[in-house]
Amino acid sequence: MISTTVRVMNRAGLHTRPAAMLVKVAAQYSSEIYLIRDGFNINAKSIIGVMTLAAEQGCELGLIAEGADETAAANAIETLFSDGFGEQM
Amino acid sequence: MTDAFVPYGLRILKGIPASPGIAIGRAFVLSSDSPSLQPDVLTLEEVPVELERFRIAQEATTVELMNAIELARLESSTVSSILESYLMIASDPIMTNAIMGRITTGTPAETAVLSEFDIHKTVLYNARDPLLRERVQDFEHVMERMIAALRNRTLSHEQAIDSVVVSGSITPQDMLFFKQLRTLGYVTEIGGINSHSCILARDFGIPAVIGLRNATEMIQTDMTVIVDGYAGLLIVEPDQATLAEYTSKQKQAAEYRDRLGSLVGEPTVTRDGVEIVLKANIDSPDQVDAAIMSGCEGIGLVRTEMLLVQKGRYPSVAEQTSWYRDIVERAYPLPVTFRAFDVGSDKFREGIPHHEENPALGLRGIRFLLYRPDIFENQISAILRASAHRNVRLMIPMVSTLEELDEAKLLIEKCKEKLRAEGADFDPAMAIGVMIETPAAALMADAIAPRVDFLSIGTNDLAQYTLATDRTNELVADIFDAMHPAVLRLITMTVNAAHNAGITASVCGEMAGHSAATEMLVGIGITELSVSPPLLLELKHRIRSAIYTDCQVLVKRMAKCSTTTEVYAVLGGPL
Repeated sequence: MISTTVRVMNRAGLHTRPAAMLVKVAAQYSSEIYLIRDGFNINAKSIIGVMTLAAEQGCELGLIAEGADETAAANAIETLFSDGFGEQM
Repeated sequence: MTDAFVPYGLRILKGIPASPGIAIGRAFVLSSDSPSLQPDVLTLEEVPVELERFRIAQEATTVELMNAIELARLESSTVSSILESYLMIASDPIMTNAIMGRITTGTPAETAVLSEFDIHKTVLYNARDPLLRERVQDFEHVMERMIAALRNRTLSHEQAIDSVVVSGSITPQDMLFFKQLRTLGYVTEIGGINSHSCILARDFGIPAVIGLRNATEMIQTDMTVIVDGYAGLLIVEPDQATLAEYTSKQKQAAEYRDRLGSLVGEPTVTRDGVEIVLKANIDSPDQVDAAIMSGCEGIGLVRTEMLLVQKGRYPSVAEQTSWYRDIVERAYPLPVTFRAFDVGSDKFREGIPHHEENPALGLRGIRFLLYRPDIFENQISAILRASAHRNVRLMIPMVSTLEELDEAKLLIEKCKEKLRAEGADFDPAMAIGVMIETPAAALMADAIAPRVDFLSIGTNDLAQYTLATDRTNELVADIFDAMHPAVLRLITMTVNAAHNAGITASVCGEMAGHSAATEMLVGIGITELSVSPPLLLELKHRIRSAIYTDCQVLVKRMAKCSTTTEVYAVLGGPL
């Protein structure tokens, strides 16, 4: 299991479009992937879960990946966050 | 919804202007029969039927969305990605399981869908970030579609052909379908000015007014309506005179575009010979060329905070210098006015120590720059370095006390000293001005004016702070009006103070682009107007048709007005 943290860099936070990107990427991996905020645990493969994290810019989230491709999955998701989902940061 | 004013006995409703232009036509009202919860419980035999009904509805919703995505790919890439996220919401595995779980335990499909979406909507409603709160709409759009599909009812977009669509809210996919049907305009009850649909309306050039409360109840299909996307007005069942007036406005708008091109090289002068300096507001270096081609006489406002938004951080002196120089060199020999970073926690949060309950009244503009002199000094140094051609001016935003101005000037002198020591080339006499956008600054303009080289009035913020109204809030948008006599008095005070001190007062807010407001501003004694490049030629045309002495008479009559309604009556109708 991989457990790390990611930070929301893009200005508008994890709104609809970045949430969709995140879900798309997460769905490519067989591992279970979770994001954690304030002890609240959501499945990164559910756009509704991701959106209801209501994660604004600057907010820090826990990231957990567990499964056969957990390293690749965690890396891919970390990159998405650090690139600000390709948006203005 | 209150009728904002009734100059001709018609019904004029005031909302938020979301996309400019004028539309005249029949209304098509999309009433969303608001889905309500059914209290009944399913019997055991009904459960599989209900599950199947949900499955079919979900499929119908996703198919509809996929069709819309196809359409979107042809029209706009931003929309297609938004619709893709809708598709994900509609087919979200967790949501689907939860809804099916509810149905299995005896909840009817509609209720199951509504309750599940409600849970998630509530979470978003409570988000601290207003941008995320606006996303509640995305959930609502998907939910409405799913409910409609459950009731076996799909929207017949065809009815909207050649009409003005009036609706609670409009989804981006509706927007695409309506565009195909040559929809004339949009009117909605809710919606933020930055919602996906409003951005689309502007992209498509379709006039829109949003935030018109109860619009779907007050307006019926086939009523004649006029959408004035410039002023944010909806005129219901206009009389012949108003109809004629707007028809000619609409025709003029089309003719303008053809004719205006010939004005580029002409001077901006009233018919009786008063010269007005026309400048352009820009956000980036690549807008300079377009502004110059439209015949501006300078850049009246560079919103430097756009550089921050672009970079997502505070750029180094070198980065800033090259951005500023790029603008200055493209504009040379025309003058360029840089406004120091006008940030607040609503726009750019970095550097602001903690969450503010009320960013509009918080650490913003000059307050922030003095709180972080390191950031401010970097910017001043970069602007000074770009001033070697002697065509640069610096403007300080959001001043509310004289001390702020004095402190800012000290910092500017300190930066000049440093540059001198380095032997850098800069303009030691670079003009410094103050943005008048708080009532305090306008009331103290006579004390500010002698200490600076120019004043510039930001009408939007001045109106917002004077009227204590957030103009993007649909609940109070009908109060926001830069033509309120209180705002006009503050503008007049500022202009008089500038004249007494022998400096210029300019207007660089949205009001400068309002049609009837132009004559008023000229009559008050404004000699410099700055607007976005697409408005330049229209403004020039208007000034060239105006007579200064008539403008003065107009202002004298307006000085006697005590309500916004009276001001509009003097101006001869809504802007």
